[in-house]
Amino acid sequence: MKMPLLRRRRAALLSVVGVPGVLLGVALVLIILLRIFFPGVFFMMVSPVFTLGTSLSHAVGSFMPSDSVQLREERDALLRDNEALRARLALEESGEEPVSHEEGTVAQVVARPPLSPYDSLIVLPEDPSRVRPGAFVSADGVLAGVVADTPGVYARIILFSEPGRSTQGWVGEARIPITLEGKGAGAFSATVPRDAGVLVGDSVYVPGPGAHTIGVVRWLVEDASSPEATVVIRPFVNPFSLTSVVIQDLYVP
Amino acid sequence: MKRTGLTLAALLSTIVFPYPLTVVFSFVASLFFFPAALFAGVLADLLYHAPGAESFPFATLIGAGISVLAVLVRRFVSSRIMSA
Repeated sequence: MKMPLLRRRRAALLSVVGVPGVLLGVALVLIILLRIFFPGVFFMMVSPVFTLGTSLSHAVGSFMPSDSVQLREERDALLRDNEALRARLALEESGEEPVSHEEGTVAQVVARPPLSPYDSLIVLPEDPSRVRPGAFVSADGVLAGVVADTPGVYARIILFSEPGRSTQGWVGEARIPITLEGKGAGAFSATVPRDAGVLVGDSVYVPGPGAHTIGVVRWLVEDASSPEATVVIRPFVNPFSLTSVVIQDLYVP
Repeated sequence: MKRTGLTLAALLSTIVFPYPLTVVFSFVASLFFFPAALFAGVLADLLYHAPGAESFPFATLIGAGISVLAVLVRRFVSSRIMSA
């Protein structure tokens, strides 16, 4: 006897994926619906597992050799201090009032790269009412990204280094304008004319209120046949080791 | 039981482990249950891809690719090795 079409389809589906597969599929659809309609509840449910993941990452990280990492972090901190002092001096010379970039709410990082395949962070702000999409986010006094959305009490942050993201900025003492292309994992690159005078070690800035240093030129890739050079930039913010950020009150609507 | 366990491990790895490890888990799970990698990819995008971001939700696409690859590998193994 010929089976009805619906039963045949159901039998075919069951033979391919099995009952657990169908159950998993249904569960995934429910998760998708929960994520879309109740994002806060969804993130609340996965938060304990995120915390476990963070603890595991730290446990793995503590076994890694740390001398070079520590030295690099110290050097970066000195460079940042140097830039901050230079910016303050320039402000004092021009007679302008300095703008505080740390006014906002502190947020604990719940998930970060490499857990996240994109350059995004999921954070838990201390005061969620002060967080709004488009708000600037800084880490260790360095601008790092913007708030993309706020599911429930959480916030999702997109770093400037997200692959494909373009950010306008400047490089060097002469403030040569460049377009920073996000490369992922906190890294950037940009293209400048070869004779622009960009040097390895020059600081890279992005606009906020004033100019914020976000990294230094690590090397220049030059080709004799091309009038342009590619600038590879090493950022001051390492997204892999962020534990907390400051979500600023300042935002881009 | 093995299929369910491996698939759950792949899904859980999107929240617990770095994404390169998730790729490995997903591929192994897909050898036994082909949509596992696709599910893991969708879950990763639900968690980490922000609306309005510049990047395309690649995790779903990569998950689908891994699922297809796993099906091809499984067919190759069953036709060339197991039948030999």
